[in-house]
Amino acid sequence: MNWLKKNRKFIIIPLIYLLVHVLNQAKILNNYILQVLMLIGINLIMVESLNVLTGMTGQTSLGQAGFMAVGAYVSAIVTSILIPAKNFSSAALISFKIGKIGFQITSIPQNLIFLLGTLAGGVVAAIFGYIIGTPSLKLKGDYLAIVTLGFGEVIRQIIRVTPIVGKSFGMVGIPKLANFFWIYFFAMLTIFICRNFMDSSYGRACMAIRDNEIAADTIGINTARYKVIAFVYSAFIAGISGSMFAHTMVYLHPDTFAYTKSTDYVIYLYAGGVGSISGSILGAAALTALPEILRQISNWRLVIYGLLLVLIILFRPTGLFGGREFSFLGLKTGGIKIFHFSDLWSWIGKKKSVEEAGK
Amino acid sequence: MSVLKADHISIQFGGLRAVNDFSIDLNLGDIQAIIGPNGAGKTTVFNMLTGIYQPTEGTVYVNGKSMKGCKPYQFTAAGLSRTFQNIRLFNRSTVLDNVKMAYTFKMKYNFWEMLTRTGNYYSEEKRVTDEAMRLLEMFDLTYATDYFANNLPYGEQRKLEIVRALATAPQALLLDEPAAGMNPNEIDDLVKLIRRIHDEMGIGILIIEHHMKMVMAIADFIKVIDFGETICEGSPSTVQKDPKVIEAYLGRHANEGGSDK
Ligand SMILES: Nc1ncnc2c1ncn2[C@@H]1O[C@H](COP(=O)(O)OP(=O)(O)O)[C@@H](O)[C@H]1O
Ligand SMILES: [Mg+2]
Repeated sequence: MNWLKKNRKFIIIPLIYLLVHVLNQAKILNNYILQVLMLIGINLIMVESLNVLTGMTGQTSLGQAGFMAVGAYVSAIVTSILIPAKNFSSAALISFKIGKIGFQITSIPQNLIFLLGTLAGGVVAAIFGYIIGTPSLKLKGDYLAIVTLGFGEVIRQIIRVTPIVGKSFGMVGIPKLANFFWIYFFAMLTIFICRNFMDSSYGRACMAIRDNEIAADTIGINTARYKVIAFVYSAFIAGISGSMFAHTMVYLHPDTFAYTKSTDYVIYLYAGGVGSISGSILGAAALTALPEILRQISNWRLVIYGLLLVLIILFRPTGLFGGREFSFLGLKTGGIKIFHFSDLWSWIGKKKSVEEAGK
Repeated sequence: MSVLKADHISIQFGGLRAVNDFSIDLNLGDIQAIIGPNGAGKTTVFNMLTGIYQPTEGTVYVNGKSMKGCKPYQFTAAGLSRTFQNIRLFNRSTVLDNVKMAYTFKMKYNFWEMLTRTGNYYSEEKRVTDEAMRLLEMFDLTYATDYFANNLPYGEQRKLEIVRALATAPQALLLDEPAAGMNPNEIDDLVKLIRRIHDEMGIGILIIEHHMKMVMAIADFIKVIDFGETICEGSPSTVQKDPKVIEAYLGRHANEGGSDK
């Protein structure tokens, strides 16, 4: 009971899931909307991953899609070897009901294989994070941006010539193992491990490096070590996202992971609020949903999308969330930075918080 | 006991010999000072003593240990800590976090314990928060624990930088022009603060300063450098009388006070 009381602020997490599930059962949410929600989850994991590297540690990355690609392809290889496509059918699904709400789950062995593939994708992406992070230790800003950009493109070109992943024709026959449940689960898990990271000596070391590397060094922080940790950790999370992506789309093409995808994530991060976990959530959600909402005005879609981005950056340079954090995350990063729903009115306009949370 | 020792260190930047043949021996309980005109090489000496620059000749010892080839964080782990002439705080973190960051290298939980938040994580975080709060309380900064560092008044930022340096539990504290940009009242407070650190912690203090009055009042041993050369050293009264010092430093700067960048 005590435990429940202490953690009641987290009740929102299962509630959101149940809400989506019930709405879906009631056919209020169609599959298209569910697909968009899944995409939001996938992008949310990516933006959190970039937030660890760029937002907390201050290391620019224009190659985040490269880590995602590694995670996607590696996990897809693992699962499609263990579950050949012809053996995978909806017969593997188990249906049951709790009250009036129906549930469907994939069989346990298939889920285990999915988790195994996801873990493999994350681990191999993390290894790539180490490979790219270590030689880049002395690089900063623009130079690091160029190196990571090059890394992403190299990954893509390697995939284009690798036979077992279908070369430039794309990889087919990936079992559809991801669903809203899993993506939601991993998105929440990511938020929590990123919060735990931020609110620990690891996150503080990274933020010290971001704000002043020389000072960080002279208070005893091994800057090289923490930069590599940030790279590896960030790449691992991006790899997880890649696995979700692969098992949602069921088809992978190397060009999906071009540098434009990496820059999209940079935009999501800055629009939401760089360095803030809640801002990353909001940035991913808003900018994934926006193009879909604008679909009805197809011709003007990209114009309006671009315009809105410019407006966000001009009028809210610290991001939509202005560096705040949701209160349920329990992050004490400066008195004014906590977001309560009663603050809603203040961040719609007013520059006040920009000055306070900025710089 | 000698905590910081440098043996004939020199450094060359291209054709410029910024510091030549500098030696120092700082013991626990000492307050020593380095003075000299602008551009004399004082900050460069500090950078060599704290591992930011590697001396081209000579060796630095911290607690008797040769620091050749070591990085600044290793100097800190060996017992050294410093502040900067241009304040270097972590501006996007709170005052409390600025101090907690200085405990990073002493944290005793690993990555996995951090991710899963084990009991060890909570007890370590609590220990460090308590220690940081105790230091902030000692220096009257508790009112500001939740402020962002760059929202503090200038003098308080200097103080916070000193508190952060002390959080690493150093045996030698190096202060680079701590009074720069302060008004006379703030300087008085600073002198009291340095005396308190000296009396309560018994550590060695090495201070670069422009304000002659302050240096004379606080230091028991002074080194004067000009154009990278040590031109004089000794007690405040010896240094004050030395004709070379009057010529090189006091003569040109006596009435200026702290005019460094
Ligand atoms: N990294 C560097 N590269 C080249 N010259 C330097 C470097 N660091 C310091 N110097 C030079 O060394 C001299 C001493 O500078 P500094 O130590 O900052 O003087 P002070 O602190 O006594 O005012 C100056 O002429 C400065 O230009
Ligand atoms: Mg200087």
